[in-house]
Amino acid sequence: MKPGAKILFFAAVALAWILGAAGARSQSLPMGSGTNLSSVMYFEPPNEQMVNTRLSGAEMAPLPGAKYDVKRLKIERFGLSGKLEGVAEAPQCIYAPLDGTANSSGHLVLSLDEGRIQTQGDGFSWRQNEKSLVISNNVRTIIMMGNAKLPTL
Amino acid sequence: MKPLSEIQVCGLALLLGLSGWTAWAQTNPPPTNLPQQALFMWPQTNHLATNAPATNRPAAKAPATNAPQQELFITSESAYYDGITNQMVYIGHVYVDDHAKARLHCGRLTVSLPPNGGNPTNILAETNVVVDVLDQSGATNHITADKAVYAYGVVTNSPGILTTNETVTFTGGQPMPELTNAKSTVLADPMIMDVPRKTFSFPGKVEMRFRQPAGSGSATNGSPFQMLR
Repeated sequence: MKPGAKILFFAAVALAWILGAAGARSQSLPMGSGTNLSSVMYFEPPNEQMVNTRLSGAEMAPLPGAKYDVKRLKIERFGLSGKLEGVAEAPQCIYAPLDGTANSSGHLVLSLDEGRIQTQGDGFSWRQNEKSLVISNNVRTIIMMGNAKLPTL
Repeated sequence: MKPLSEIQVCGLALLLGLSGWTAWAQTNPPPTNLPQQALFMWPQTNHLATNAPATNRPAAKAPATNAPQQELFITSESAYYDGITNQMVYIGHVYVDDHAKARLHCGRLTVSLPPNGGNPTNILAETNVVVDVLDQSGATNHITADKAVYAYGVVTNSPGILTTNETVTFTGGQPMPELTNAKSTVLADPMIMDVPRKTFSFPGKVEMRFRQPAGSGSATNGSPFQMLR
């Protein structure tokens, strides 16, 4: 994880999967399994109070190598204004919080710009630090054209 | 079947000066209810005679929310989203379909998304670009090139008047972009398509070949150069 980056883990329906106090900002990793995972990453200073990315999942189970099997993954990316810029959802993925990566051979749905751009495909790799999302196979996109945001007169 | 005759022309200015040109120019009035923002939508026309670069077009003053929406379908083998540059990049057997009005094949497609949302401002198609555009009669206009760049912009040139620029610029090829339809073949680099106006312009090198319709003889819809024989 990059220096300065913060991760907050919340166990809303907790089964004691957080090492130490819940919600502690840390480099510490969740242990055990749990439900309703939520991991929040913030912008770099001076915007460290603003949420950059939120990763959430319905269920999580530990795997070797400080990785986790996450069910019903949802990755939300926000702009500095707080506007939701994009949402990626997948039924399952392997999440590596230390590397800031999530990947899966399963299906992924990506929605950008308030749903104007809808993309889906099979197999993906998300890298938080590079702010990139690779979709490996069978990519299909629908772009809504025409409702341009013209300047106000 | 009678073989087609071809006439090669090396000057667009000469073309424009020939009265025969209008013999096969578009006769149907342009549609008035067509969506304005559709990518590669070009219900054309054989009206190739616009040597001036594609330029500004006055846009309607209606609020953007009233503008019609078009769905653009893209498929590819793989893709990636770059959150730093805010681009979607499609790689491998990329296919773009605009409700069957236009189809594009290429090896790589880069869609640049504006930071504040809205229409993609720039779409770059690379590697063996092939575009098929249907005209009003259902006839196909076939374009091949190395690269095609779709550019979209909205500017305010004067108070109360919005102007949109929406063009597709084709460059490169073997040896340059080629436009083919039932009546003619045009080689030009660059080849600029003004999407709203549904016209082409050829500001650089251009070469045109016309096919004489079979059995047309000296009919008025034959080659404009028939009279030179």
